[in-house]
Amino acid sequence: MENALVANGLVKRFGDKVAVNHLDLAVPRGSWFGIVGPNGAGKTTSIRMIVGLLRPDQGAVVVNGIDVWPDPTEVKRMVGVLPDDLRLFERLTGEELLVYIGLLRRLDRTAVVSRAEQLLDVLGLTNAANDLVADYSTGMRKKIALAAALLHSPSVLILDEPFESVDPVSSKVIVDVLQHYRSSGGTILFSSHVMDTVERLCDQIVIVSSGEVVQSGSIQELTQSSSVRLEDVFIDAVGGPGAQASESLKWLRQP
Amino acid sequence: MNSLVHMARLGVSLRWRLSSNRLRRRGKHTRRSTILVAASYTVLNAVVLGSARFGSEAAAVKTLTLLMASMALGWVFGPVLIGGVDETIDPTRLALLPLSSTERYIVQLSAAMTGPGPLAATAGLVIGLMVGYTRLGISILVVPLASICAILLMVGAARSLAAALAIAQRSRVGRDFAVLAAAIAGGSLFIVAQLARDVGARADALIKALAWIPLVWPARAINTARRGEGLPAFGWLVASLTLVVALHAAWIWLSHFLLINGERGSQSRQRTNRSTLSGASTRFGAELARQLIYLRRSPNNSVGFLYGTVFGISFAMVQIVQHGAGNGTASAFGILLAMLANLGAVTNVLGFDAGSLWIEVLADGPGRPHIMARQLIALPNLLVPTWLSGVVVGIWTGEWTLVLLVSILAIPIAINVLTFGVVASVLAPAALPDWDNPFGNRQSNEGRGLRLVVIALTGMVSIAVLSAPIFMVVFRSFGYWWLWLLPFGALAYAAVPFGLALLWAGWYLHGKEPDLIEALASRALN
Repeated sequence: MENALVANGLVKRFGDKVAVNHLDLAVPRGSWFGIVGPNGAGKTTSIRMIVGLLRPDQGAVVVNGIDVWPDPTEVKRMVGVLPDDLRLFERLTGEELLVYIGLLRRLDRTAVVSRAEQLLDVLGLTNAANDLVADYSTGMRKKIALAAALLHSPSVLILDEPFESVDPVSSKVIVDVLQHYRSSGGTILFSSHVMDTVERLCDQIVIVSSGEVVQSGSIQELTQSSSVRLEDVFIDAVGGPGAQASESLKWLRQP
Repeated sequence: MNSLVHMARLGVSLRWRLSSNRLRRRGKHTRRSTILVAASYTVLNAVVLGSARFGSEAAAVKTLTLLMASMALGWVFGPVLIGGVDETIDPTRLALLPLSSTERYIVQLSAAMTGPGPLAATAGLVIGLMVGYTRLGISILVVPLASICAILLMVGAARSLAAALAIAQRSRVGRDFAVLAAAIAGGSLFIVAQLARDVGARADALIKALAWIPLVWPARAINTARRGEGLPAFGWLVASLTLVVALHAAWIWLSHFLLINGERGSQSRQRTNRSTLSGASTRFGAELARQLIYLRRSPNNSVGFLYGTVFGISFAMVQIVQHGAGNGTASAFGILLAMLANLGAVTNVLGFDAGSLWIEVLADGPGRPHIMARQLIALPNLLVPTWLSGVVVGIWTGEWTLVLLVSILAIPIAINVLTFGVVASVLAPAALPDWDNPFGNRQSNEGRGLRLVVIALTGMVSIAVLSAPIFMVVFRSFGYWWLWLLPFGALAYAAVPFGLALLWAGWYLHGKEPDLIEALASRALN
């Protein structure tokens, strides 16, 4: 299958610390691809390099046959991104934010207004369309940022922890939208450490630990056709806690 | 070209929408006052500059130099000091869009020219210069060009500074250095002016110093053109244009650098607090240890400490130069100004920071132990710069005895500062600004920047009132044997309001945790 996104040998160092160490990814077109890993594994740093927000020290990223670096402008036309740290225009309403983002992407104004209304409706934000983004809750901010990422109908959608701090209802809405996007031929790359969601949604995953890919494959391969849980595979791959809670926290009991 | 025009129109529209939404949110009164202030500023500038047509040559030069310098300093440092007002200053909000560096620059440039402040400043400057400084001859050409140059210079300098600060703030050392450098740059002009002996000479010295600021070079072009000196006028105009190109190129480059190297360069290093925490066996001890760790790590504290030390010593030196090394009394008491200069370093005394508040609430607080620990830990930031200033004054004047007396007196004065801190942090809680992100100062977004200023000014007055009896008794006791007993008496005097304030604060805060959380960490309630 043709790949929508390929990363080869990505390396990023911060001083002495190697945040990402020769990371390789190949995301097939039309797939739902997960990057999973514990906190601090290098998922966000990798995604930032993939979407052109952080220059890698080594390695290359190609999206739809176009190199992201040195100039990520062309690739930004093709991808939609939901970053981990949302930096939005706080003093715009949700609707205004979508309209300006669409216009800055050079979309036709009529199309932008129509798409913005539809996205706000589907994501359950119609009632908050005229509220300032500054007044949105965390879940609403995720949804408006997702709307902004989808507005130009990107061929690849890259989402960093899209379900973090999102309530189950909003989470279901986001999943529905993403499944519709995927069924229309879109490619999704997303990071998470919620194993149930990853297992339910993804075709393929890579497990990242300390900046390196420690396991990769389809969900069926990794779980041996559901004979083991993905969570156990994940813990085996990244290493469990140093001590058993039942042994070291003996004091933690009720009288 | 069509694309750039499209981007420019979007930049204007975006900034206009952001400004109008912000004003609408702040209410009718704020909206009206903003419009009134902007209109008044336009008229004031136009009238002041326009009236130069009827004044003397020397007065016209001084007027334009002063006005352009004040406008430039406000334009450049305003967005940094009152961050968060203009969201378009932050290039990272456009990071995910497929804009080339040129397109992003055009969006930001057009947005930068559009807010109420820039529009008022531009209109007043251009109208005033056309009326007051344009005569027949070379000035017809130079004045309009230099006016445009002046505006572009201010925009370029403001945006380059903001981007440079954002880059610097990616590391702790860079952040401390940037804030310190900005503080020294801002204060040095004031100190230069203060060094002159009389008011007239001081004003002349200030204007001469201001005229050399590159942002004021267009004023030099206009002033020389007004006198009909063609070659020097073109020289200053070319210099200004070159600077415009350099600053705008720097802005584009710095924004690009910020966008592709945005993540923090300094990853957290392993830290250990065993020695600090080992003695924390009581609530007060634990709180004191935590505050000590904050004091060591907080960029706010380290920057404040550096700022207070540099300005404290500078203020002391100003006293010496103004009054002469022979007047040791004024110089020695001048070291107390270091404490005032450092009030900003103890904002955790005047307010809370949201992080501290959460920990205090989780630890059955905030109560007296928490407040007392927070206050006491601020003492080093108040006293050390003061004592360092004392050493400088001692070396310079040889008045070591007087310096020693004032250094001891600084302790009760500092306790008076803390007394105000206890009351203010309880009655007018104000969250600390987010120094990590110069673009995201949420305090200013909510109008709390002004609140912090009001609290600080009230603090200065309150501390002066509380400390006045100490000074009155000390000044009347020079030459008497009991003079050296007075610092101990002053300590006892200062301890009384401090203790009473603590008792009151503990009582007042009981059950007020939800109110504090709402006031200080409202985002957490979403």
